[in-house]
Amino acid sequence: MIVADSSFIAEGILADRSLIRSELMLSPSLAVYEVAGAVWKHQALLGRIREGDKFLAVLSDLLATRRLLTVEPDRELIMDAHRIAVRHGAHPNDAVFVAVALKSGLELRTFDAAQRKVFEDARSGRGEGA
Amino acid sequence: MKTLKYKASYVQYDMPMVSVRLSDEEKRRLKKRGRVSEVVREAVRMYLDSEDTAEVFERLGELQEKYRVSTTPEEMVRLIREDRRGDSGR
Repeated sequence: MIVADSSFIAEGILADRSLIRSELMLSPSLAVYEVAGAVWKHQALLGRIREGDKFLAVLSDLLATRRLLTVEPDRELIMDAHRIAVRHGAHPNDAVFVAVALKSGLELRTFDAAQRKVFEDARSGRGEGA
Repeated sequence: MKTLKYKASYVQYDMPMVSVRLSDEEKRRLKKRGRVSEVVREAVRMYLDSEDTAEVFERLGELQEKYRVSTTPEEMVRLIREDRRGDSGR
């Protein structure tokens, strides 16, 4: 099981299914809307696909079959994400993926180098004095 | 509808009931994992999820073959980051 960020899920759904085929994924619910946004951009702005609804149906089915599990926000997650965002100068949307990964003890899979750095810094305790 | 609340699911009285014959050994092994009906129900769910997931990926494979989206992972990150900055790209 992994924590998957929006870039990883979006790439898996839109371009390379092998990324997500054998993974059981955990992600904050924010990812669903960010992936939906990426699908929308591919159809409405970039014109690279025409049937965005079919890609979104796949996303929905991954949720229904529990291949993608979402974490809903609660007080603890909101506070953890805020603390990480403040300490590491990250956007709260980056920090919430990091918070879920740290809390679950799972590896964070992302294509976002900045987010990965925040994860590695937070995991190793760098920036804790900030 | 009256429900009985168990650990992870709700069982309604009007749900269909299925009887399954098990060997003593299978029953013993199931009992080690919890209440037999709960363990069997979860096993059925897992099986159905797994079968459905295979169909989902087959459908996704057809979609990806059809469109062959060339977006690189780096570009995907950029598309998502634009929204975090409040810029939809329009």
